[in-house]
Amino acid sequence: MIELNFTDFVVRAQEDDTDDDVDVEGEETGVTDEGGEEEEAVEKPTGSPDADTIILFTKPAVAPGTNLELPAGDLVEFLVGFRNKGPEDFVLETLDASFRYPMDFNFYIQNFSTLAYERPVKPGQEATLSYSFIPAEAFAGRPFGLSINLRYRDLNGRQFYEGVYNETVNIVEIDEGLDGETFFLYVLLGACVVLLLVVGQQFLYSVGKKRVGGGGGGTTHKRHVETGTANHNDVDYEWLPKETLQSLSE
Amino acid sequence: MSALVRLAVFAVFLNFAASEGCTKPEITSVSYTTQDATIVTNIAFVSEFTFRCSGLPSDVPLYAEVGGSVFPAVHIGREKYQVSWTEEVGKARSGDYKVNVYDEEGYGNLRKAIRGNYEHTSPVEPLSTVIVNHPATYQGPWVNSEFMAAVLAALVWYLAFTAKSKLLL
Amino acid sequence: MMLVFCFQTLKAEESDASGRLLVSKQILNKYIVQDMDLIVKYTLYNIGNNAATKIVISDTSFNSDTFEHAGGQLKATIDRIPPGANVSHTVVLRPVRIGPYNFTAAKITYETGDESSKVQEAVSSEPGEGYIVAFRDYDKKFSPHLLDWGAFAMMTLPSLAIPFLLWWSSKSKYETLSSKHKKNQKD
Repeated sequence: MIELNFTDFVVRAQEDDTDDDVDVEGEETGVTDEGGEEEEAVEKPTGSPDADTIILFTKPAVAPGTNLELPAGDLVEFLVGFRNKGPEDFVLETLDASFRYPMDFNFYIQNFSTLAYERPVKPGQEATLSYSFIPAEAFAGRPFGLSINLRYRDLNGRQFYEGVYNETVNIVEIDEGLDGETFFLYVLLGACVVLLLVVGQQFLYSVGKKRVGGGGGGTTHKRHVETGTANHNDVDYEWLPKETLQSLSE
Repeated sequence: MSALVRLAVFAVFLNFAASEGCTKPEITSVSYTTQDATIVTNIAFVSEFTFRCSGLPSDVPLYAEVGGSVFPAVHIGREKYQVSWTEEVGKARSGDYKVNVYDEEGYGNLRKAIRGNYEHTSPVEPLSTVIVNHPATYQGPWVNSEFMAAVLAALVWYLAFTAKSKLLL
Repeated sequence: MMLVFCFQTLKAEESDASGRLLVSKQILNKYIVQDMDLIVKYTLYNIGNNAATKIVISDTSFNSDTFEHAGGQLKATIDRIPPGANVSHTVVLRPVRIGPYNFTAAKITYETGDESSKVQEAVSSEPGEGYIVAFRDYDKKFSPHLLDWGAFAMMTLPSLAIPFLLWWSSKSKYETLSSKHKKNQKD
């Protein structure tokens, strides 16, 4: 029974293909292979005629009519609006997004997670779903086919899988100069290097001095004329213990 | 150029008309801003105010202008309005934020002024102004305490080491 | 391109101009912590081709025994949103209870501005499940631990200070002695 319904629906979906997104996809990507499209239609049923979906990219903000450019490695947010125009409840199930090969939308490049919503939408009601993803940074500078699909069901258990967005988008690189964080990182690194140099120099200096001092008759001591204990002023008593000093001074 | 002047004159005239309608607005406001930014991504600025003006019908739609952006004030009750916006943590400056309140006419003039040449038009007088004070944003300690402890330990060690090496010279 | 296409289909389907709102409800928090701010931002985008009017946002999804008000109201009315414009509304709450909390949608009603002037019902996006962390746990993890470091310093102090003091006392003793000796020599 369900099977029958399903095929019935598919036929209908193909009939009113003209005002659906599939058309756009065909135009944009130049997929004209009839057989392939038929297969795809069996594989994924399109939307219900009682549903009206719309997409809006909120980050980055896009002016309508311009080509969508998504920054690589940065968050992309969009909203999907769903309006129930029919007499029956719908349940919004999942939303998924994926990057496809722009020449062939059957070829997946990056899949983003499928979010489960399970939100009922009563007749005449509207619902908004939000979804966000981050395009991989490695994709910068190339066009990709972005495909966003909404899966929902009606109360009879019929499932619909509607392409909300099927377009080629450009992934652009964000050149944000030198931000504060990296700048200070570099400053810190520079400071560390300088500190290491200073410490190293100090160390070498002290080692060299010790060696020169301990080498028996260093250069600084050479100009002293040995006078034995005749000159009492030059004698350093500091190294002597207290008792000895006391006994000396007595 | 003459068109610009005319526009300005027009704006002034309309402004006059607007201010004739509402001469003594009564406005009292309570504002709230996020001060601890350690767990949030944006700073919220919320100002709730009651607005009453003898020359205007009650609960008239109001608009607010903050730092060049204009948006409608939201009704939250009888003669009560809310103006709220968010700003990224790094971009939110501390201090007083001036919220200029306009009615429908003032809003129209303001839009015209913004759309036209911004420098040459005279500023559109707001009906009233609400101040939202944002004292400061706490973004966590200035340096990590672990880092500070490590620096102190290194300092102590350095002092000890230099003292020791001086002794042994 | 797609947007334009959508607009066109919308236009084709509903011959008269009407406003249509998409409403996002976002929570602008990295962590949700007890007794700290929870920022909820509603953004209404009018993607229709007519102004939406008499927009009423009402969010009853915040339990009064779990959340306290800090700023802003959960029920608000916006008179008009022109086509292509967006309006945001921000509310700050303070969770008082800990545990998981499911942040669900806000309800919105508005007039689409077409001839029928019917009231359109809509629900916003859902932020989803979140966990309200106890302030104690948050503090344990993210506070600067000044007290702990202070205690650590106090504990390490004896092992550093005792040898230093011993050295210092002997050093100063010998210094006074040697200076005395020098003075004696001069006199």
